[in-house]
Amino acid sequence: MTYQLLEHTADVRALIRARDRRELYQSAVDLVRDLEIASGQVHSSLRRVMPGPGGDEAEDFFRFVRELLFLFDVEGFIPMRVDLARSRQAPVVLGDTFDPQRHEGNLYLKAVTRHHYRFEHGRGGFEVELVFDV
Amino acid sequence: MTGGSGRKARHQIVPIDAWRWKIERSGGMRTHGLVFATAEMMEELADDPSIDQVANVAHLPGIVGPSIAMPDIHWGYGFPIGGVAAFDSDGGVISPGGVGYDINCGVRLLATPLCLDELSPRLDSLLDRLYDTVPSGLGASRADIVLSNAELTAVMRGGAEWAVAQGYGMERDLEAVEAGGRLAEADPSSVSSRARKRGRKQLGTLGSGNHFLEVQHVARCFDEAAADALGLQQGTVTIMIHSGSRGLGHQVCDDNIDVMLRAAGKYGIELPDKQLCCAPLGSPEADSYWGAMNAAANYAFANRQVMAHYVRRALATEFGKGAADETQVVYDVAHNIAKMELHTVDGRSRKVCVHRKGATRAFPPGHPELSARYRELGQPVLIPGDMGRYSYVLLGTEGAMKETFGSCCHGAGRRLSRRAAKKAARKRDIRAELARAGVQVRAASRGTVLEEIPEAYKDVRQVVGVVDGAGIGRKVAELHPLGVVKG
Repeated sequence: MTYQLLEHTADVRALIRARDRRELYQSAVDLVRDLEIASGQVHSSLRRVMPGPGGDEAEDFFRFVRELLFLFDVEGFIPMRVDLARSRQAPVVLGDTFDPQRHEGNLYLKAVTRHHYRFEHGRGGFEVELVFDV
Repeated sequence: MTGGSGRKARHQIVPIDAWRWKIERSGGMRTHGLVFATAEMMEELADDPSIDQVANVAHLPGIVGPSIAMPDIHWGYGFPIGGVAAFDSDGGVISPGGVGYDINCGVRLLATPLCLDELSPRLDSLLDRLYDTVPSGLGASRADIVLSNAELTAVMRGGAEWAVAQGYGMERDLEAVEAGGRLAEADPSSVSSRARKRGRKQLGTLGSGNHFLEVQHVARCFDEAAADALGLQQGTVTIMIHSGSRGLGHQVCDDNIDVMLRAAGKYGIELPDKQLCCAPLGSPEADSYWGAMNAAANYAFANRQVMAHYVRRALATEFGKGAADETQVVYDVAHNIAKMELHTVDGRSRKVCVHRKGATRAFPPGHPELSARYRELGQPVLIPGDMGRYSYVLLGTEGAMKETFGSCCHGAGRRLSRRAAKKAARKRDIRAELARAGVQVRAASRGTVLEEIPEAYKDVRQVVGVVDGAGIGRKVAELHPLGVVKG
C-alpha cells in the first residue's frame, strides 16, 4: 500500500507516494477500492477502459480517479487492478461489480475535489494529494 | 486579539460580541469575514483551515457584505461548510464550490398524527419498513423508479411538483417546500449525459454518509404558539429526511468545476483555492451552471418528495391509511444552493446571488417568497443534530435578513474527522450505546455508524444557541431521536 490517509474534518484526504506511474495508478485503484468497500473479495473479471492521456499528467491522473468514482456510481464497478501496458494509450482497469451479498460497503465518494489537489513528479517518483467529498 | 486565542496569526480575528467575530480584511480580501460562534467554538477553530476558507471566499469578485460563517462551520473544499456569501448580480460571480457537490442537499420534516405512546410498540417494525422501503447506502437504487431520459428531463424541470403529479405525495405538500419544490430557471439541456446516467436510478434513495432518515418526537417547545402552528405539539412523532441530488448533482458540480476553472482564467479571476473557481454572473459559463444547478436542485426536491411518499406508505402499513394521510410536511429546505435574491445592502435593494454551502435559508415573517402558509409565521428552519442527541426547528427572523442575507446554520457541524471518530468508536458497541439512550439504528454500513457517532459532531444545542442568541434564527422546538436509518 503506497497511500496514507491524512486528517480532514468532514471529507477524506489522502497522500499517494509512488516510485513510478504504474504504482501511482495502482495506488489510486487501491485507495478508491479500500474507501468504497469495507470487506469482501473483489475479482478482476470486468474490464473498463479509462480516459486516454491528454498531455498533462496531473490532469490525466485527476480524470482517472474521477472516472473510477463515476463507474462505481453508475454501475457499481469496484476497481482491482490497473493495466498500463502502453503508456500512450488509455489505462485499463480490471475489477468487479458491487454486490451487497458479497461486499460490505464503506464510504460513498461523491467526487474528487480540486481542493488541495497536488501532483508532483520528481526524480524520486510521484507524490499526489487528493481530497474526496464524502 | 489576534488569531482567535492561540490561532497562528494568519488572520486578525476580533470579537464583536458574545456571538460574532470579525476576520479583518487583509491581503487580497475584498471584504471582511464574519463568524458566528462562541469564544469556546473559536478556540476549537483555532487551527482549523475553515477560518482560512472564510477569508479565501472574501477574495472573490463582486462579494457584497462580509464572507459569513455559521457556528456549524467546518473545513470544506473551497468554501467552508457553514459558509454564506452574496455576490452582486452586476460584477459578481457564481462558484460551484460555493454550492457543493451535493446540490440542494437539504432537510424535510414530516409531522405525523401519532404520539409517542402510539409509536413505541411499533417503532422497531416501522424502522425495518423504512429501511426496506427507502434504499440507502452504497449502490442504492430503486427497481420501481427507473427514469427514461424524457422522464429525467421532466424531474429536473418539475422538481417536487413533478413527483406530486406522478402520485408521490399531495398537492398541499408543495406549500411547505422552499420555492414550492420547483426552481423555474432549471435548464435540463445544461445537464450532461454523465450526470443523467448517475440520476436515472437514484430518485427516491437516501444515499450514504451523513444522510439519514430519522424518527423523532417533539421533546420541548420554546414557543408553544409557533410550534402549534407548525403542527409540532409536545410528544408529536416526526420524521426527518436528510438527502440531496445524489449522483446527478455531484456530476453537475464536477462538470462545471472544469468549466469554471477555464472561465476563471479567461476572465482573469485570481483564485486562492482552485475549488473556488467561478465565472462572472451573466457569462455563458455562469448561465450554463445556473441552469444545470437549478435542474439538479429540482431533482433533489423530487428525491425528498418521493422518499416522503414511501415514508407515508410505511406509516400506512404500520398505523393505517389515516396516519399517512394526516402526515404533514412541516417544511423542506435546501442547505447547499445558490439563489438570486433581493436584499437590502447599505440602505438600497440589490439583486445578489446568495451562496449557501451548509447553510439554510431563514426568511422572516412577511417575506414575499414564502408561501401563504408561512407568510405570517416566517420560514421554518430545520437544523438536524447528531443521531444520539437532538435536532431543532427554528423560524427565520428579520435579524437574518439584515445580517446574513436571510441565512442560518444547517446542522451541528463535524468536529472529529472520520478517522478520529472511528478511533473513538473502537471497541465500543455504538448501536448498543444508542439503544440504551433510546435510539434504534438501522444502517447499511457498520463504518457509517462508527463515523457518525454523536461525539463526531458539535453539540447542536450550542450551535442553535448562537444563532438564537445572535437573532438570526428563533428556536421553536427540540426534537429527540427514537430511531435512525443510515446509509
